[in-house]
Amino acid sequence: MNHAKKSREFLKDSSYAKWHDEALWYVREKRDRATAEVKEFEQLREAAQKIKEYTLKHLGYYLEQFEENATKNGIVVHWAQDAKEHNKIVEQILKNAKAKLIVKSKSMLTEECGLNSHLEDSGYTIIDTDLGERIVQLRGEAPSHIVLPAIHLKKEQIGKLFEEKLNSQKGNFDPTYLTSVARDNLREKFLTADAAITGANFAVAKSGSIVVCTNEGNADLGTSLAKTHIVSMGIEKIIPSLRDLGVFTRVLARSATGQAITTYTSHFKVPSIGKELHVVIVDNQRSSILNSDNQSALSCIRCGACMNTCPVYRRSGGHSYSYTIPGPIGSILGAFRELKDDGDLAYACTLCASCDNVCPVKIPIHNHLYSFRKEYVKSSYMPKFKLLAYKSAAKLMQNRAIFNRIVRFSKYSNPLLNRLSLWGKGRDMPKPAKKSFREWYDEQE
Amino acid sequence: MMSKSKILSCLNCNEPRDELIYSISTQEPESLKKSFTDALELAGGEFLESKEESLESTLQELTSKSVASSYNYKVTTINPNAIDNTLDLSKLDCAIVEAKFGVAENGAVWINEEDNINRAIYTIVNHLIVILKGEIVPTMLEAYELIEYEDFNYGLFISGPSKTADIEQTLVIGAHGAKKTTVVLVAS
Repeated sequence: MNHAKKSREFLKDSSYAKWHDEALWYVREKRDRATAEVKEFEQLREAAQKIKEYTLKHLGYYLEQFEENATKNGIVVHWAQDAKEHNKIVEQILKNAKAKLIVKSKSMLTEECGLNSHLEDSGYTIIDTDLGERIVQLRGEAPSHIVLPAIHLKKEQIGKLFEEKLNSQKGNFDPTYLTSVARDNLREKFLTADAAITGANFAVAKSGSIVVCTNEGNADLGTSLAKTHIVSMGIEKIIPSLRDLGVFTRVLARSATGQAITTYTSHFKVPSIGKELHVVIVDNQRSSILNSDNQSALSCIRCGACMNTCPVYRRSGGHSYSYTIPGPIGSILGAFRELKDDGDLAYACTLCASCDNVCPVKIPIHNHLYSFRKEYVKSSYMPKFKLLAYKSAAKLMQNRAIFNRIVRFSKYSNPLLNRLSLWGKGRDMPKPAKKSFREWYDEQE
Repeated sequence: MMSKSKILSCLNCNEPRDELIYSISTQEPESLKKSFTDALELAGGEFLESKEESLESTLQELTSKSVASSYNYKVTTINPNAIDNTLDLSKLDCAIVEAKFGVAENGAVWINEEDNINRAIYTIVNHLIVILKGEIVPTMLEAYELIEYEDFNYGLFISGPSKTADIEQTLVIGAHGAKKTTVVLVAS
């Protein structure tokens, strides 16, 4: 099912859709307040963009530098070309460590690789520990947002889920209570887990260290209790030095949730005595993106700001997107990987460019999506009726005489279109002026 | 190793000849201490000031049952590095740790206790007390200038108690880590 069809399902309950829209807009407003407080925020965005561009340009050099320094620190570095190899490596590490129970902190890469189901099929128990991720895991769903995985759910739905799965009090839907139920339940898992898997927000080449940002403390608790820590990271997470982190830690949380910084910004450099630290560096088509016109999409630091501001995401929900990462940035990555199945995501966009304006690393997101539209039109995947509509519109617009007639006719046709066309659903066509510009112009001396 | 060379073959591995240059002009707040305490409170943390000579009595007032610390305060009941059972760790109520410096813009403190091998201490206790004897820097840029050449095994910035807003955007303090974080600034 494509994005448009799934969105239609999402929009069936209009009060729910409105609630979802407002919940995300609330986060966007928090972002605005937090960034406005930092006078030099635009300078920080420019610096963040520069650092990412520079590192991507020299990515091979910095990856090798990272491996060299991380190895000196006692970290074991692995390389995986694709999802399958990543999962195989992780499984082998777990097997060597005789691990059975694994706690995981938020990692979109392991979602991308389908690690959970791979390990479950092999008999491992893997528990997501971020509260939002745990909720969607218990529901058997994917996260609907990269920073707020359960943003699509109401507290009543979560309360009922906890009643069933975690034995919580019947009818108690208080978020504070529900959080404490999850805390107690997950504390047990933390204390008995054999291994901990985390993602990486940043990997620092010069110091050979991994940086993870969380609010809940799940990454620190999980990794400090388990014997083995595995980090899954994409090749694009590298930055040259700790100094550069000064820029990213100033923009990340402000853009994501409107906080000045996440509660925990943890630097893993040397494993604890008697413990293991593994880093799996994953390509999985990232190098192809790097060598394409879409390179800047790899600068993304996964803050989710483009989702919170997107008028389409807010009104269609993360589960309407066919790629693991939803919203504007995910639509680029999805369309790049699979134009046939995910190319329609380039149309889950109004080209308003609001995403470009909030992106902390200044990715021209809407330009990428526009370029995928061009590719999609040229491909054979474009639905025939849509292609026909586009071609007819192009013909009409190229012919001045016909175009002028349409403009003159619009005062009659627009009210009609409000009722008949898809565009008129939930919004009004603009009210035309009494005279078109051309009519007015012809009357001038 | 095949995979490594295959991945690297698609990337530029040469040593960069161009330099990465960027500059940011930060605006220092009028009072670093006030910015720090405001930001810490916004992050849900608590702030106290104490003179060096009254630190012990301040800690006495703050703590009750079990107090883990690798420093010898009077209230310390156990050194976390001496605990090797995770269940025993989980029974700890409070921990006292020392921070190297604070950050005014976000109320975070930098902690890297070289001799602390038991890293769970920062998140497993209900109440984390952070002793801050060092300076307060304006922003993260100055913070990383201080630690860029520091040799640490594991270090973290902590800003306030553990929190989540994953259920309907309602802020809840005490997700997986400490439910309460108190920073005690020791005046020199």
